[in-house]
Amino acid sequence: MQSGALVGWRTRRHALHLLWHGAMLSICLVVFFPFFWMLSMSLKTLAEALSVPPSALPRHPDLSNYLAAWHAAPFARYYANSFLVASATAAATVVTASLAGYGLVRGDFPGRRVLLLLVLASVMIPFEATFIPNFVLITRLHWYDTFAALIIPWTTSAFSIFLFRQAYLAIPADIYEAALMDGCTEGRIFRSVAFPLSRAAVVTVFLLSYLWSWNALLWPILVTSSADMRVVQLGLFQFQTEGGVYVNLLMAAVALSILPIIVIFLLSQRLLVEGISKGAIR
Amino acid sequence: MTGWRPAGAQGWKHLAFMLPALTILGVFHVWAGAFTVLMSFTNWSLGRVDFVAWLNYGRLASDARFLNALGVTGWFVLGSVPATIVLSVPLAYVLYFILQRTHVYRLALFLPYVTPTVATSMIWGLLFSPSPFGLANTVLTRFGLPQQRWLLEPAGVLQLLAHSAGVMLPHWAQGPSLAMTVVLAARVWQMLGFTIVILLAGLTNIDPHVVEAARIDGAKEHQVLARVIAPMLSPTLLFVSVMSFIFAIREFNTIYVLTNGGPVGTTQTLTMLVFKQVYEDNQLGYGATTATVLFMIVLAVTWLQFRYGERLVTV
Repeated sequence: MQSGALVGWRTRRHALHLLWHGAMLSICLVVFFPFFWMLSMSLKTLAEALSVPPSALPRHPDLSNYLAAWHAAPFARYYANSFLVASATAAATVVTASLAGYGLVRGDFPGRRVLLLLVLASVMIPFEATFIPNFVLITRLHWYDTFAALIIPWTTSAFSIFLFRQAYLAIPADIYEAALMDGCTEGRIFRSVAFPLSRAAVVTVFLLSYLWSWNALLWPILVTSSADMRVVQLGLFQFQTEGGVYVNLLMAAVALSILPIIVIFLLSQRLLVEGISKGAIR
Repeated sequence: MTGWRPAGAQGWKHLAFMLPALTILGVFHVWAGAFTVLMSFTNWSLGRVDFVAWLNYGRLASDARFLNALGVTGWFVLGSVPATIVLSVPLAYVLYFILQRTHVYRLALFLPYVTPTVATSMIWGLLFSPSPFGLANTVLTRFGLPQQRWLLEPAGVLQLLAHSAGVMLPHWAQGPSLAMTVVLAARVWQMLGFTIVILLAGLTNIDPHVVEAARIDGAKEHQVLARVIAPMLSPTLLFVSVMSFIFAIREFNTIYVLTNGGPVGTTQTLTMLVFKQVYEDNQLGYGATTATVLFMIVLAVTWLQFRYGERLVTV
């Protein structure tokens, strides 16, 4: 009798659980819907894409839109530009931020607190409050319409420095002391001990800097003008302005522009999610 | 690490480690931030530069575009931030406490946040296309409702609703434009994952033993929620609110791609306005004035968080 009631309670609990899963699944489907629409549109012919009412699924799924979109604008060039800019920005950020994080943890020079405050303060200065003088500076340096303009201003961030600082603080001080005893220079300790131990921070900082760089739009609009210098986001925007009627090609181009980011995200989602939460919760 | 020690050779070496990052931060962030404020007191444009004292600020105070941008920014922030948080709190709660296996859901909900905004905005632009083949218009037609111009519609949503009942609302009660409402929907959709991820991290920091103890002591589920979980989550909630607030004030991509500030400026936020003053009007000094106002708002919010945040959340 008692065990029967328990089984009943269990199945009811189980059913309730399934209900919750069902609800959450439907919410996820709703959230995913715009992506579904993008994919569906990207596989339709132009006539079908513009038909009223629109069909949910393409009648004759056709991958040729992707090829057509790729050739309709110099997307290969845009991708190469974005890959170069994002990779260089991310790699340089890892270098500058890891060095700075190490200096903050190990350093005992006068004014260290002032420097820490300076780094802290830079977190509160939004991009909108800096881009006008930066734009002026870029033109004065004759960096306008060059990769230097797209890369150099963003090769470090306070957030990345803090992430490395946390990583180096987590390494027991004994390890540093032991390395010093063995006659290691600070440069050697950083290279052979500290940096290799901060692998999680390296990956997180690289990924986040890569994403930020890849997604940037306002800055590329301001500091580049020639078609050869366009990054993917800007190229896509230009493509929409010029060929807005071809919604099927546009959606194929949009899907292509998302693809590298989705791949990176799926490969590294745990680190990425952790990194973003860590940046938020100190 | 603690206390002051004279800098030996070792000390300066550590400073050298920081030099590359400090140079970049110093020039492109700190100097640029200060120089923006300085520029706001000049009539900096492509030609000559003169010091004009508070002239730009006086001009701003009576500039209809600026005042409109302030209001639009208000709609954008107040329309997106509370909605995102109200939607994400129950989702995070269910994910964390009821469906403990959250990874797949978290992944799906987080996807819009990591997808480049230019791309997602183009998809939303297509969903809410003003033409009859747009999905939103198809849905309206299906229900026998008139089609809308969506992102091209400057009329307030409340007015549009009232209009079907034949009522004309006063200007202040017309609500954000329909175009702004679509922008807000896209924004909430994109930021939901970010907020949930932060909230989940906050929930993870709550000691499960405390929650367990409350349950064993016979607390009802809603009591546990209100008396145990909510107070312990409130620092995270405050933090995510402030962050979302600042991100929203600064948002550019979504609006630029979806509406470019239009129709009739009803989606032209402060950030959009700064961009236009600089990029279209070439008024760098005047743009810097608007940017400085934006900067001060961000600083004030950050300062309030630092100053009162701790006290507020530990009550």
